[in-house]
Amino acid sequence: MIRPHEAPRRRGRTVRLTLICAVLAVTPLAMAARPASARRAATGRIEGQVLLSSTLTARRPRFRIYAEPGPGARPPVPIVDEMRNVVLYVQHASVPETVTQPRFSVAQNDEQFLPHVLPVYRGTTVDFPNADDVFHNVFSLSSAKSFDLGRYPKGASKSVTFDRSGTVQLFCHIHSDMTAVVLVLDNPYFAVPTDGGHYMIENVPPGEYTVVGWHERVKAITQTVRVVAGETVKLDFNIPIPPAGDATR
Amino acid sequence: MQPADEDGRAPRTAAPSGGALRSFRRTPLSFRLAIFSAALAALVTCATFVALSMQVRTSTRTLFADELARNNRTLVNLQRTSRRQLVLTAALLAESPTLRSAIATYRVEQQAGAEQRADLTVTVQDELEKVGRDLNGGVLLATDEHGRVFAGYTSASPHPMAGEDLSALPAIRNALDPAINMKENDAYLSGLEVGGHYFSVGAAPLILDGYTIGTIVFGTPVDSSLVASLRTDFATQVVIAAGTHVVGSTLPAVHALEAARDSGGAGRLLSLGNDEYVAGVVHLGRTQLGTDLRVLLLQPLTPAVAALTSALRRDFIVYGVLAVVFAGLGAALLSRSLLRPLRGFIYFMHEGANRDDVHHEFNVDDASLEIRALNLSFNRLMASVRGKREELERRGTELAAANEVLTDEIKERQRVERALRESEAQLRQSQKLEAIGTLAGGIAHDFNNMLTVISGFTQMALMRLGKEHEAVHDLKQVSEAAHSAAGLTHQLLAFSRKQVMQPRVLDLEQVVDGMESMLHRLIGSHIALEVVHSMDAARIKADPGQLEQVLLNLAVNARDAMPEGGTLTIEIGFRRNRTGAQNATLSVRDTGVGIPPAVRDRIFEPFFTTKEVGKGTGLGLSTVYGIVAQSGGTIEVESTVGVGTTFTVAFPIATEYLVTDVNDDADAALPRGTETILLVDDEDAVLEFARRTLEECGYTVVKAHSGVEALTIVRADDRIDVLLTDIIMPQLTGPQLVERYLAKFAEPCIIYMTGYMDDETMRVELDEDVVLLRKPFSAADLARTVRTTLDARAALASAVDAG
Repeated sequence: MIRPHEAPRRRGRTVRLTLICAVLAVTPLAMAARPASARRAATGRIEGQVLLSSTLTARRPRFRIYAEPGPGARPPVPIVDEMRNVVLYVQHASVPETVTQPRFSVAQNDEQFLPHVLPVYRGTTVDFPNADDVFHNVFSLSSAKSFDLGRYPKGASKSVTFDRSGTVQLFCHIHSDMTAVVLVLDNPYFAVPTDGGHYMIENVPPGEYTVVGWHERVKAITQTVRVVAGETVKLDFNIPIPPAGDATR
Repeated sequence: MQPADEDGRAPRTAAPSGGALRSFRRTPLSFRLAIFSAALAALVTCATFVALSMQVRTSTRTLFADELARNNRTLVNLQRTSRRQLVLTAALLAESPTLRSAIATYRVEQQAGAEQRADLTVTVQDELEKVGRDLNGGVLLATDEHGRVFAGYTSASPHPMAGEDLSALPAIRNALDPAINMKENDAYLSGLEVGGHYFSVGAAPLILDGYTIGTIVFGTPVDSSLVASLRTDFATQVVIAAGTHVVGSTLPAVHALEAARDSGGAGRLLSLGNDEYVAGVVHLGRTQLGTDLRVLLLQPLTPAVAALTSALRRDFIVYGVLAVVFAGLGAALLSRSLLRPLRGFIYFMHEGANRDDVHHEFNVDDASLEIRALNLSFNRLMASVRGKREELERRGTELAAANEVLTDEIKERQRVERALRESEAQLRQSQKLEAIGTLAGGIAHDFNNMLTVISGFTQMALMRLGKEHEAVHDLKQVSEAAHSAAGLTHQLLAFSRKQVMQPRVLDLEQVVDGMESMLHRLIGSHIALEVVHSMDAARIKADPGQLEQVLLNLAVNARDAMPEGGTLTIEIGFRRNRTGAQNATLSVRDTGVGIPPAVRDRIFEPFFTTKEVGKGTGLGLSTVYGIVAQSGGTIEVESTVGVGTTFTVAFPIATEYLVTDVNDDADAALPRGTETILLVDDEDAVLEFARRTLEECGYTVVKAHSGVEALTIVRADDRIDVLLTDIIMPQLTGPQLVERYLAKFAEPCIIYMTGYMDDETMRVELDEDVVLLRKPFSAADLARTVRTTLDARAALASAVDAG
């Protein structure tokens, strides 16, 4: 019931983020008053198709000691498409001085974090609203950002600002199955593919870059690309998602 | 029959033990049956006991094996449950958000290549310790998704096996494998070996967002405490083995080790020391090093079996002895009841055989079929025997009757033949002897008369001459010669058997002695005569003349048997005959040729002779036989050819006393008398001799030359005291005269005189009290005879008068 409502919202946000990134990429030399077209002309675009060559049906069901049939015997049905857990980002790119910091949120919905993967630019503040009827206690032990928001009820929300880049694993102290990843990045040039697997990173300053295809179970897949201002570079990713338990092999 | 056959074979085949075996075979059937039954009962009891003990053993073993299998199942279930509990506990621990977050975070950051987060490791360690401290010797480990130990806790070491790869441990391998669901629960169970300690462990995967990020391993110690617990739960011997190593045991170490090394399956029989055990095995899984952890439950078999067997043995001894006794008694009773009719039957047969009785039938109604069949067969046999015997008897009787008839016929015929023969012999003899007898008798009669005259007148001459006269000696010679001549005439008369049988008591010795000189003459000088007296005063009652003839005949035969000379022995003896009566014997034994057995039976036949023709009469022995038989005696003959012959004549001993003859004594005075005597004799010389003798003695003598004259001379009023008459006279014989005289006149004393007696007079039996005066007689004979007769009559008359 949330999903049809959420998806457009998120897409809109992504578009906005892309725009911002593009602006930021162009702005180092231009003034803030410069028209957008001018800035846009100074940056390039990376665009492509992501293919998940392995399905996620290999994911394990919950461990049940008595193997009677039940919901736990089946793999959990992913709320969002797995494609949305993929992040594509550009490494080592120059960052514009001013970047608008939009607020993001990771909701606790139906004892799951939503979204499961959230890429953010360094310094972004993320809200953790509790949409469930139960208490949640969001915390992280990751070195990029270690925090514990404590227990809070439905409707309450707490926020964390991620000022260091890195992977931040999110957990709930009450529901140990809940987990999410906030991927804190050094620049704003990143994208999450659409359900169809199409992605687009805009406003990338021209130059030669390494683009990373990230998934939490996969070793980062990298490709180099040359971004020319005003042009769109095509870059497709094939991310082999291994079966569960074999993630790093 | 089979038994006989066996008895026959037994001595050959079983010679050494034959004696005992045979003596056993000869024991009564009932005894054998009793022994056999008792032995059988004992055997059956023993066999049953052995079989039952084996059965008990097997059953006990099976029972124990079953119980052990049950125990095993229980143990397996217990173990499964307990290890499910382990897995569940592990799974619960895996739910810990702290552990998950720490491990997941650590993992992610390790992947990212960031520096190792010791704080996360410590967190996990701390978390595990918190739980593990209360585990009472258990183990708690966390591994990463590769099976390497991330952190852990045991009571023995705070950081066990850090970093060690346990991916080989089946439980962990299975926990990490997402393809394996929990259907095979046991796959999550394993043993674990940590620093010499063993654990039974379960592993649960750490799953985060559908991905395995590690495992939690939870285990309880496998040690002596488990042994104690199992011992309490199952009440058996317990051995826990890790491979061939003993982790804990209720048995002695040596036996435990042995049990641990045994790799047998469930229900196996283990022999440890003196005891046997039924073993059951429960596998607790393999450790990371591949060591097999096992629990062995051992049920001791020996004590249980021993207890059961001893009880069984006691019962069997009691009941076995009872069975043997009762079997023996039962068999004895049975055999008795079986054999009783048989015994009765045997007794019956025995009795029947003793009495030779075939008529009685034996009947048993209450005996067994076999006995009744035997009885029936026996009765049939007896009936058959009886029939046969009756038939036989009937035939025997018939035969006997026929035989009797035949025998009677034969006897009759023999008697007739004998009678015929006898009469024939008598006829012949009488014919033969009639001639001799007539001749000899005539001569003897005339000789006797002449000898009486010679003798009488010689006597008278002797009396008249007196003793001193020189002619006396010569006259005595004449008298003796006359006496001898009288003897010879006697012999002649005896030979012709024309003599009167006048038995009197004799002394055999005197008779033999009297004949000895005559016998010497008869047998000749080439034969020696021996007379043996084995008995004194052998008195017999016989006619002396006849006895002399017997001896004479036997002596003549003996002489004829010894033509070359030899010895003739006459023996007088004494013996008892078959009826016990005393006999005097007269044996005549020669050393002659003997009598062949072929003719021995015929020697007494008349006219049987082996002598040359003309030499023997064939009458000698038959005469002897006749005389002996006439005298009431017997004659026997013993003879050996070439050695000699003995005739033995036996006479009954006389009971009367011997009357000794008073010898004639010319010198003695003759008895005198005054009675009147009628003297009758046809011989003038004899008549004259008698008249003179009697008149000299004082008697009045009336003489007559014949009977007729005598009857005419005597008047009715003449007193005649003695009638002295010759027997043989012309016209009227002595007895006829007596008869006629007695018819006319008063009864006188009657004295006969005779020289011989012919057949006719012999047939006329003389009265017993008749007085006989043999010719030739002497004057003394005459005088004494007359006087004695008169005196006897006078005595009788006075006795009659007195009476």
